[in-house]
Amino acid sequence: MEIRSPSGHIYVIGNELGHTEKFRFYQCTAESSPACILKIARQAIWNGLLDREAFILQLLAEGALELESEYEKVKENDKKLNYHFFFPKIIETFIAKEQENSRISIMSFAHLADNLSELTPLSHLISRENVYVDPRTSAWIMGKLLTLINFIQGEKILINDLSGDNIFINRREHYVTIFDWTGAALNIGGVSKYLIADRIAQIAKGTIRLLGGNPTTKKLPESPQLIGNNYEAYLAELSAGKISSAKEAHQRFYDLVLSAWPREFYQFTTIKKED
Amino acid sequence: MGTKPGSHEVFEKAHREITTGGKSATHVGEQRHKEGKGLHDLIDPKGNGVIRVAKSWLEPKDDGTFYLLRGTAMLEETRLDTTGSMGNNVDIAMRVLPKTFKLLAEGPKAILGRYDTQMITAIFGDVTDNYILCRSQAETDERIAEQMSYMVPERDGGDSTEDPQYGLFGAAYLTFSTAKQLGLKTYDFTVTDADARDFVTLKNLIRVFGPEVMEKVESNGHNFNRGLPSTKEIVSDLLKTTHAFVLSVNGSKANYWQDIFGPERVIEISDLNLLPEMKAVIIGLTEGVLELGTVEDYLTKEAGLSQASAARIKRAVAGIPIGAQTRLENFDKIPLRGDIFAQKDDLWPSKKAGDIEEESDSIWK
Repeated sequence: MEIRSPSGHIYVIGNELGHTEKFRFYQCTAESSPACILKIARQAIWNGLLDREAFILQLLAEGALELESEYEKVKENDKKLNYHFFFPKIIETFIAKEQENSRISIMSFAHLADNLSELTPLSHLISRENVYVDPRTSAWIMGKLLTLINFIQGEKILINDLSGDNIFINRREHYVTIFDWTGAALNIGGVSKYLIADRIAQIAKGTIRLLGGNPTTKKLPESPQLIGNNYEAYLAELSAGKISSAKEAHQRFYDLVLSAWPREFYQFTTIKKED
Repeated sequence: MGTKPGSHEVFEKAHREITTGGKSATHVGEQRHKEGKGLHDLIDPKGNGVIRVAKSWLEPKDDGTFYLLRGTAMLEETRLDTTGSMGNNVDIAMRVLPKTFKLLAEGPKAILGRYDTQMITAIFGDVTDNYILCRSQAETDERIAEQMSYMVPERDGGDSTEDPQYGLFGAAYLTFSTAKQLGLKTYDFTVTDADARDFVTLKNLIRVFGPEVMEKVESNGHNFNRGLPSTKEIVSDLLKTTHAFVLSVNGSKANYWQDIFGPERVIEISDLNLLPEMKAVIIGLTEGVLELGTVEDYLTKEAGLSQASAARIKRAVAGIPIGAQTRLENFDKIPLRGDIFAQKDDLWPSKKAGDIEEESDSIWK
């Protein structure tokens, strides 16, 4: 099945990947990008959410590019910020008259994966693969999520869905990305400290869960990688909503991680769940 | 409210006449105040029956039925801060009124084209001022400008916190609209650079709306069995019947208002001369008439803005609940211009305009 946008681009639509109350998602191939998603509003009344999502993704893309350019001028190594990995690239958004005037957005994940199957929602690790991750694996996921919050805070954007269903990873490349931005909000004057602390707490609780720990007691399972309880204590502090600066949370997190484990690529590692 | 609607020419003429000789837009009202006459009854919140009414206009026909003259009444209320540096906001609002009306109500590209646009203008000050609130009637013609001229902005305001919550109270509990009866929401804007006190007092409610304020509130379908509402509770009730927004001047006190209205309803405005464009785009996005992808095109072509100004407005409004009106159940069902009603007080038509071809000549001429 194909669909032609008003601008004349043709998209080949594949299998339905999922749906929510408001949208359906299909695998899709664009001329310029093979790993795409076609997202369509199930009713025209939800068009506005896709309209804003497209705008936010464009803002994020511009913001990421600008920051990369600024960083390029001052950096003393070959590192990159790579903030563009945190979100899909919007290819096009349009109203499809033949689809009862529902809005369609075409988004590319090609910068994150050669194939969409390489991207996994965090929730699937526990619910479908029956695994947890080890502490060192959790560290790069948590660290990147803190980087993400710090980045979008600077863009005055608040992300509302930080559930495991909306956080995707490419386990081979260590990419972390947010799949759906329709729930994101633009806040003038910046995002309040309270909301930042809340979002940091959400991802810390998610990380504790991903480790097989208990988000209520904030206890982590024992691991030879955990020497002392610094990691557990810091995740507990973050999950209690005690830190309202993404920059501070991010800095302290990396200081802790770098003091605990060597700075080297660490392969994605899971631990089988015990029944 | 007459049968002849306003137009941008009407409002340009009214503005010229009111401000002739470099006079302030509000010199009439300010002169009344100096003479000790108090507020004009039409803009005194306690005047003219207290409750502001935005009803659809049903014109009688020879056969005893009625037809909807201009579409369902859609109320737009704007509440202007007139304290301190905000003191000339009525002057600005009257100057840009022709453009506001044109963008919202005139011609085929009018944002509220399917409705009968009715406007209330209100101004607020501080409880230490002589007048905490002035609030016009819901009007659709030159009376919008006329009633603006009766306002008394005191340009003072006491401390830095002001008292728009009395105006919000009026909008929430002392307003009647056909749109609300039909299940739609009307539009409400508060323009300010200050925050508000978090409460209203009975003493000040009586001072603003008169000794029968509570009876009026009750007669309009509300009660406060659990005591007077806080500012946040007033706004919560206001949001049940209106798409309400705060236009925060230069983003001042935005965090305060985000807590009260929700972050998606607080919008930064840097230049009050852009009030018409801001309101048009917010309403257009809410009504589904505009989408973010078309906002810049609309603002440059229909409002004559520069690309840079259009882009700034788009960025400012992008966070609002886009399409919120379209999600209301009766959005596509409301009576339209020309629909026939059996009785003057009927809410829903007995015949749609499209069903009565033989009568259409008389309706449209």
